Amino acid sequence: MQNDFLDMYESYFDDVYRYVYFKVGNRWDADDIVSDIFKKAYEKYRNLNASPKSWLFTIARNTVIDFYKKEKDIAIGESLEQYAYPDIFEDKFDKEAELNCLKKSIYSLQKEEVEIINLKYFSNMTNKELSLILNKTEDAVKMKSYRIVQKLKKLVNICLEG
Amino acid sequence: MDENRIENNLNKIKEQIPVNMELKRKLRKRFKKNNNWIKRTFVGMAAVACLLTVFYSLDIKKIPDTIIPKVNAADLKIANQMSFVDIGGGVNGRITEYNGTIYMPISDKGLFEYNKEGFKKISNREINYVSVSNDGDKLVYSSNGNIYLLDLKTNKETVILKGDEVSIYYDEPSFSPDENKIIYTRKVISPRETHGFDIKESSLNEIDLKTLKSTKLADGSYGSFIKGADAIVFERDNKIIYKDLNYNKEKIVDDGRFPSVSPDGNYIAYEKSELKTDKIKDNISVKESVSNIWVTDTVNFATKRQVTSNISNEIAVEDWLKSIKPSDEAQTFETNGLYSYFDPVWNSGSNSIFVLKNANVDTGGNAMRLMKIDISKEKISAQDVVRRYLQAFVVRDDDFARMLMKNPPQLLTISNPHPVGYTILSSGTENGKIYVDAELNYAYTMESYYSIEKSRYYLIPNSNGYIIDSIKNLSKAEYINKNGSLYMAEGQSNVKLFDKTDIPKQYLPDGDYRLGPIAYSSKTNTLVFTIQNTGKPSVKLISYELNGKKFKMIDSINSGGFFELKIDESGRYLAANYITAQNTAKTYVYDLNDNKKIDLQTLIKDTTIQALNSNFWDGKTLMFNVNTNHQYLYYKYNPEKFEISIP
Repeated sequence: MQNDFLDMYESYFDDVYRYVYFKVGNRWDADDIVSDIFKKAYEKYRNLNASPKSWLFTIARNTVIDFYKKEKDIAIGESLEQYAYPDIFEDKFDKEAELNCLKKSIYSLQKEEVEIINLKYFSNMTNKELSLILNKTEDAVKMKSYRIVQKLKKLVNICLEG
Repeated sequence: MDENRIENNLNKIKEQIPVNMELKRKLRKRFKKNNNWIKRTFVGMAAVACLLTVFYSLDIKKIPDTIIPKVNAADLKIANQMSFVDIGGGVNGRITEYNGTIYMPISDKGLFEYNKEGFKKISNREINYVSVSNDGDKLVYSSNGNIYLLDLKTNKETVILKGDEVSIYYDEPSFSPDENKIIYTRKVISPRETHGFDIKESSLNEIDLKTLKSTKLADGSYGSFIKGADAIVFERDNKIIYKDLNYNKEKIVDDGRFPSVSPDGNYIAYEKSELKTDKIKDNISVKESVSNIWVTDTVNFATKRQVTSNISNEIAVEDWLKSIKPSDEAQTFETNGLYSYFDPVWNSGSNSIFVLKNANVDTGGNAMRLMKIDISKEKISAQDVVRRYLQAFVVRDDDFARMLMKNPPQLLTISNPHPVGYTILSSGTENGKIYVDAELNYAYTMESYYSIEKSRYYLIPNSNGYIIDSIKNLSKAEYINKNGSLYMAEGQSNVKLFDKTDIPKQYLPDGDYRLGPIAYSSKTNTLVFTIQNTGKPSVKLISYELNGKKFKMIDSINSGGFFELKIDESGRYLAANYITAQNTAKTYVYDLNDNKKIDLQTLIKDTTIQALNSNFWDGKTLMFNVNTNHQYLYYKYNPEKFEISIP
């Protein structure tokens, strides 16, 4: 069991870390949350019978929510979304205009759409894995992702035109 | 732009999101070691700190000062930059610093210890590269292809590695964080037929100081260990490379040279030159390599921060364009930026970087200077931005001055009269815009001239805190000697302050005399002036209080003359540059309240001083320099505490 867990740990640590870092925007909270995620995963690993990555990311998402509830003192019923996704790129010295525009455009999306970008592109999740944690069909996820990329394309072009 | 390009760019952005590989390694180790780990209690924000404390207690004896770095490189702020050593001729080695002491190799002279005590030689060896241990007790250095260890407590030197002085050379040594090992470069060279040599091989190795067993780590040079990681950073083929020693995997951090890892293990500083090609006409082009210092995180190198602000050397380009003759041949001019930077080195507190800076356009002679870049995690206040701008202006750190301005001029030039001090007066808002008012004082060497320029600096917020948006001159008052009378000129008004016949007779020297350098304090409305005897080296220092029209003798010396005066922002302390009858420059600092004076040379020990001159007042702190046989070393003097320190 331990070797399996370590394999999963090796395979997905980077994806989980990026997911959390991008969501919370700083390294010290990310370190804290990621440690907690893998601690929980280790505790519950015996119960795993689904796709390991979807399972791990379900834990990850819940751990982030717990973190905000506990640390940010968010009232029950209050939207967590407003606390997530601070702009982590604001001080970057990126000379590629396209990349800078894309970074800006990501933060113009709705939080739910940023979440999908984070899971699909920054955390390397397949549409199937995404469908499991978002409780949607694979086709619905595919369509939603496609629309988000279309939306980004428009925003980036507007940004590049200045 | 199509969807594929968006997706490709999203993948590029992914690579810029950091992953804490150190956390990954530590957690993995723990999972492997102890299945019961999960039963341990660790909750809340302190969880990782506690967890890593457990890890560290298992792995190494000392608990690190900073377990989790708090700020990404891109978020670091530049609190200050100042050149503080003008280095004379000859190639100088890489320096190192521990807790306020800089160890500086000087070509043909040896290794020196530069701190608030003075500038003391500690080795006669011709040293190429020196590094201090984390506890500050030992130095390791390379000299003539050998590597030596110097115990600073016992002054005992030990040879660690000996080259053959023909083809095998050992160089660039530095300690591992636990001080048990030294990483170094082994170079195999072959002499050329005429002169010089080629480096056939360059490899990074570590030597265990207990067993003296060496192990090769990688091909490259300029290696450093990283605190808290089984990894090294080094340079190879103009690339900065990170190598995980556990997995034997290398990753390119960036293009660049001279990597230096901060002692806390959080950041890498390095020099990177970016090549620009500017096509002026079809067959005329300019290739320019612009050097800058950068800082990146050691964790995944996801964020980077450029910490210097070099620019194109437009003067050299313009001169070349004027000089070329029309031709059908392709003509290319290759040049560097306004400055070239070398060898960044972190201080022991991991909050400053020392860097060698060469001004490629310089009229002063000593073009190579040692500059210190102070890094902060907090944004810089508007008043501090103006203070630092004025300092950069006075010291001629054009690169830093430009970094603090939104629309900087090409070059900030300074001539005689030259600035001798500045004072921040007040700050506020005008039509919603933040401003800071400040005063800049100028003087002419040897002349009875002093001026005070008041300006309003308008600032706008930026990622570093604030940046100067524009500068408005408010007023300029000049204090001038005309035919033995002192005048204050401001705008159209020209007010006589006193005539030399007003000076009490008992203050005047016998024989012929003239008025020498002067200084004025707007805070106390007091003018300080000098009367130099023209027949012999004898001088009087006198103050004149303008409100009460009172003269007061401050000092009378019979063996030299004053050549420059400057008053601090409080009006209490006067720095007087003095030349002795034997032609040696020194500085007295007077407390004008109680007529006490101190000779700054008496505060510097174990140092051969050829000359000492005060440079300028940074508010209440006097910056002065010591000429120690071709090196000009800056010091700071706090007149309230009679203390000196290095910048």
